[in-house]
Amino acid sequence: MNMLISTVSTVLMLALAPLFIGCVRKFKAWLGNRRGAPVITPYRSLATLLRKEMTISEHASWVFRAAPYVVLSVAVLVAIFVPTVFASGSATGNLFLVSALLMVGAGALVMGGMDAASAFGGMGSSREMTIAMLTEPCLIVVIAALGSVTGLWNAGGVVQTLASAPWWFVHPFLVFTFAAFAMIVLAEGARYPVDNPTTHLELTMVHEAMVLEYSGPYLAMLEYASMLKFAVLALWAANLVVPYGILGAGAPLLSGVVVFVAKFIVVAFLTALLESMVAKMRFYRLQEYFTTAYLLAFFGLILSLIF
Amino acid sequence: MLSQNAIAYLIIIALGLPLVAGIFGLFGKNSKAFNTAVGIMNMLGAALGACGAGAFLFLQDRGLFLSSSAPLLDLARFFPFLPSHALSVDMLSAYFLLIVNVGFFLVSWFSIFYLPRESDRYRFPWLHIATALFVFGMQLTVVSGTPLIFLFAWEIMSFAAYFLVIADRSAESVKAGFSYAIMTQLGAACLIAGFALVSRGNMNALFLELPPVAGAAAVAGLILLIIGFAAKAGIFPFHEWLPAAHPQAPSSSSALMSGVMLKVALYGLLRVFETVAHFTLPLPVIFGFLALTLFTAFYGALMAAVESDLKRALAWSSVENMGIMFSMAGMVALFFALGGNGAAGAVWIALLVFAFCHMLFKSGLFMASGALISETHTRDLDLMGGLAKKWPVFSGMFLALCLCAAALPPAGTFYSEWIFMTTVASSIGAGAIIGLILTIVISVFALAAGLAAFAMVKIFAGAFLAKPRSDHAAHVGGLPLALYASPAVAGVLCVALGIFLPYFLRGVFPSAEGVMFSGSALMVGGTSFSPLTVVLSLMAAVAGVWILRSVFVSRRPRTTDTWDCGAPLTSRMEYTATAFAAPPRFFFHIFTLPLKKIISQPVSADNRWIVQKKLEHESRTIAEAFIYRPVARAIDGIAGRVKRLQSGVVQFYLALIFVALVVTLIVAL
Repeated sequence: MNMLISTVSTVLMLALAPLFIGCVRKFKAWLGNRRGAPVITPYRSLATLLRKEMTISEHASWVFRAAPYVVLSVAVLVAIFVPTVFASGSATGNLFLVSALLMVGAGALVMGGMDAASAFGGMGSSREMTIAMLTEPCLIVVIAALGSVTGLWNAGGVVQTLASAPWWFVHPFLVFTFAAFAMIVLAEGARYPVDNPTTHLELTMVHEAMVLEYSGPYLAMLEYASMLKFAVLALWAANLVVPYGILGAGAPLLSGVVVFVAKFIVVAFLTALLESMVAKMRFYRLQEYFTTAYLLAFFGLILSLIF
Repeated sequence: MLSQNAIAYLIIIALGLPLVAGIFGLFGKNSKAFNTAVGIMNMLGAALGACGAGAFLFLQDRGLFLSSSAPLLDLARFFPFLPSHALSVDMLSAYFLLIVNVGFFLVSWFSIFYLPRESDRYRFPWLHIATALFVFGMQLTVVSGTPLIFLFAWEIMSFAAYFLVIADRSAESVKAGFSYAIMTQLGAACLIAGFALVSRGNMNALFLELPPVAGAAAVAGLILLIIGFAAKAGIFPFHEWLPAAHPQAPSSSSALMSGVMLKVALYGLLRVFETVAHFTLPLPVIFGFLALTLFTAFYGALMAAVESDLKRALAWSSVENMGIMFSMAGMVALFFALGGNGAAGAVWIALLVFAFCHMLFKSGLFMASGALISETHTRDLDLMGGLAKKWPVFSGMFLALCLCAAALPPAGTFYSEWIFMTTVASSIGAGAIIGLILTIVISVFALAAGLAAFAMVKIFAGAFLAKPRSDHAAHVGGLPLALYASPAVAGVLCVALGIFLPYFLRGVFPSAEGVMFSGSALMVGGTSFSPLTVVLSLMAAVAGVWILRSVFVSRRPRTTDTWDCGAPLTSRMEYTATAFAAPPRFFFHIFTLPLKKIISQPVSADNRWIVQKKLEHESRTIAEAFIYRPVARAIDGIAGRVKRLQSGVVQFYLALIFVALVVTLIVAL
């Protein structure tokens, strides 16, 4: 039964990831007093990319061709392991494995970006690898806090345990951990203030610069992987902060679905709100951002242990 | 079932055969046939030794840690002039003997095909005899049963390594060899003093029978021993020689030094921790040790990330890995001090697994880069590039080795770090102060892991991706398959060790505490996790994505140019390895201490705007700037003062001798 629900929820997440991005864009447009594109636009652009002819640079090697597969597979695995619609308490989804998988995905994308011998690709790759390098320690410290507070090391079990008692009462200092986690999600998802997903200026790009040489189906795979990763991580964060009503943690089906839809919309709106309020940081100031995240995660861990 | 005697014979043959091969190699000049013969003899010896050590490990059920009840394999009874058990094999020796022999096997295999390509740079007889003594020293160190034999073997190893470092007789190598020799002799001096103190002067006592460490003198001895091993393993601040010396040796010898010799230094530390100190170290010593080793892990990874010389970057990565392994050893001691025997056992296993993997991937990486450098004629990553297109299989193998070095799944290193992290994080609740220390350990480990991943991606991307950035790199020939067979086996073994880790551990440590095995799953700290399932799900995901793509899209891609904004694209526009590492160099500039100077010189006398600008960029190291130079300056200063005594008057010297005698007598009586 768990297996079935888990599969269904993963498929649901795979299907809804572009809609999530569409919602973020729509809310962002509304907040900027624009009407915005329909929320299904990401599906349309992915379909267009899939239909298009693919061009591959003459300088590219097998690494360029292999990267999209690895990146997308990693995103799908993360979607399976991480509780989004449903929190499974089974042994899959080890937290450290999730963080290592994210690093594998980042590494593959970086190598793909370097391979076409374009200056922009190299620039984006160098930046992305730096971001991945600085995100990983924060994520591991966050994981250590979640794991040592709940005594469990799988993503679903952590959410189930947090749901069993109000965390802000039992472990109030997890709030630091969650703040760090939110910063990590923004960095991993290539969103403001770390990256600008809609930029047209190559010099400010990170993710977009790496995928500059990709086209057609490979670009569709990379874009989809990026959408999926952000949607999954954002909903995971939502489930950690508000672990109640999630399927698999004692909630009935109907309320589980309602709560999921509510989280989906609220998280998309909060992302849009944040992106409308802050500017993208200069790349060489990102150390401040990551130092903040690292220290928040560190204090979350220490204070949760002491109190 | 091999009998004890058969195992002992195998190990003794493995000790002797490399020496025979080395002496045989003395007569061959730079002949290819002799080199092949020596290589085959070495491979044979190493294979026998690995079989013997492996049989000892797998066939007999032993506890995780040495206990008095564990039977030893006494090699000394075959040598009547040695006291009983002066050469003996126990669990720890056998494990490291396996590491040494597997590493030596792979490297000997590689050098059969590698050395003939470098025959104009090296004198083979020199290399053969130095390698033979080096390997003999390492094996003898590992099986020695008394401090005296240990030190004797240790010195053989250290001296032989010096001749490997200076093998190409270039000025740079001699300089690196000099700093290596000084550091290693300082370390050896610490070891001699340390062993003399902990054994109360009886250097012929068996390790097993050394008196318990008690009293200030014994603790001082312990600290000296730790410093001695740290100097050999490149722990901060004794690390400066390592990234200079290891890359200067021929690549096959670099593989032995980084992949195998550092494990022997680790063995020495573990031997002292386990047999001499019985893991009862004073807490301040453990904390100081952890602080230095953790900083080494972070600093080594950072320097590997910003270094553009391929072999130096790998050597820095070894510094990082030794920092990781030494801090794991410190954690074992800390957990024992706290009474967490299960956690100590789990970390001990993580450490041993990491040591094995490090031997595999680091010797593999050094061998692979030797093959690569023999074609590109440069160690500078900035002058490589574009090799993935020329050598797809070789680059795939190199990538797998990099994956192992970055501790990413499915490599064995990932599971080692996973066991370590899970154990440490599960023990955080033990108390506020200990929790704080464990939290710092986790945070620094995580930071080093991120930097290590960066370093490995940079090394791979710099060497293999984009367009070639030099003529040599653009016109590389094909690499013969024989050259990458050996590193490929190392990579496969390292990944296989990860995937089948539970089976391996069940064979070697059937009664381990802290880590449990059920089927293909590992269980640590109440969580279980199957490496086999991980790799299968990863493969299933890639296959699924690939099938879906082929279902939806069947058009063949078109080959075009890279987008070049209308101007022809050259390799000068690419990101080099140096450029790639600019962000960490900037973010961590308080550790990398970059010196950037822009020198402008006026070209014409009447127009000051026409200038020639030159950018100079160099990195100092913090150890050099803040420790080595001040110490050297202080010694210089003292020597300058002492010089004033040298008046040249004989009577004055006689008076000094007399005063010294009187003072000695007063102190002594």
